[in-house]
Amino acid sequence: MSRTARLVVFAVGAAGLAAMLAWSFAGLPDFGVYTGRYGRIIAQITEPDRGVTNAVTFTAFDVRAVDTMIEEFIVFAAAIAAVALLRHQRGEPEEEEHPADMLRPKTSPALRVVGALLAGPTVVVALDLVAHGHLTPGGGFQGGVVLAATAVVVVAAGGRVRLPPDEPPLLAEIIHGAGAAGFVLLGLAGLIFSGAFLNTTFAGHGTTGALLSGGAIPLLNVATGLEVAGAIVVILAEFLEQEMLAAEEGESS
Amino acid sequence: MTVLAYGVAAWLFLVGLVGIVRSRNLIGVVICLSVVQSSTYVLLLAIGYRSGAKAPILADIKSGAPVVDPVVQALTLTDVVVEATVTAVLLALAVQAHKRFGSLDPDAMTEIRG
Repeated sequence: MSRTARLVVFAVGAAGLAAMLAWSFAGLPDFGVYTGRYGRIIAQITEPDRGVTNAVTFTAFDVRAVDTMIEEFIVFAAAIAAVALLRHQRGEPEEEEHPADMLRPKTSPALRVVGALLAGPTVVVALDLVAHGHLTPGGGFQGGVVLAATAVVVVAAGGRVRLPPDEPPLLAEIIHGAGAAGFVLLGLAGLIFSGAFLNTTFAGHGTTGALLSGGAIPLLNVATGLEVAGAIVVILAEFLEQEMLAAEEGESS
Repeated sequence: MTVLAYGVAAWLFLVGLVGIVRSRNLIGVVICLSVVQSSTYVLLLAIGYRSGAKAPILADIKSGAPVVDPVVQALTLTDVVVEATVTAVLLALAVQAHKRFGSLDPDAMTEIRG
């Protein structure tokens, strides 16, 4: 199909879609007068039932904990998919065996200074987001991403970037597997100690507002944070390796 | 206000689709897909909004005070995570496609090679 024909077909379809979107949105409740019951019930029981003050975290890690576990597995699977997809093509340029001192050119001093300044604070922000996920905005997913960003800052700020070995970074893989396993084990602990998979009450409530409160919800946040940080580092390392292989080919040709 | 909130969602969805159809670069397609997905964030958050309500962080507000719906916010969190993972996998596929076809233009990939 030619490009123009494709655009015409799309325009017709998009016009129809736009009309139906407008129609369906017209049937939604007006903006600002949402009357759904579940959200209100959850907001009411969040604090008395679990000693947690972040209703979103309570929803994600208690009410919908099984969904969140599957969501974690989606992240897990995406990291594996990225490794599998990007690994396939290695092989050929390997004959020359990169010597250990095969390093990329130096990064700029400005990047190194900013990176060195940012590395510490981003770790602290990440740990804060994970640790207080049940009290204030934040949680395992958000903190995990910031933690992975720390790894990016460190790599970018390194004096030189070493060509990564053929394996995905082992530590990140272990962390990412441990996070996924930890979530399931905490779920099983709920099954054993309080009678339902991913029941978070077995660890007790603690004092509302304290760092150690909210039953197993903070622990689930930690597991998620590890899983997400590990998975994202694995994915980014694979992309970095591709980038460097491409740069190397560009230099040699 | 109703029109604005839902209109933004519809606009993002459609404009992202236009981008996907018009794009001549797979990376552009992936970015346009993120635009399409971001329309779902706007829609979910707009649906759960209640006028005058606070964020569902109960630490600093009086108990019983109205808060916006936490369920749709948790769903939005799921949505963001799924979007990020989908983007990662699609970008990996784009890298593979570039290796195989030597180009990122979707129109250059019409021929199927073994």
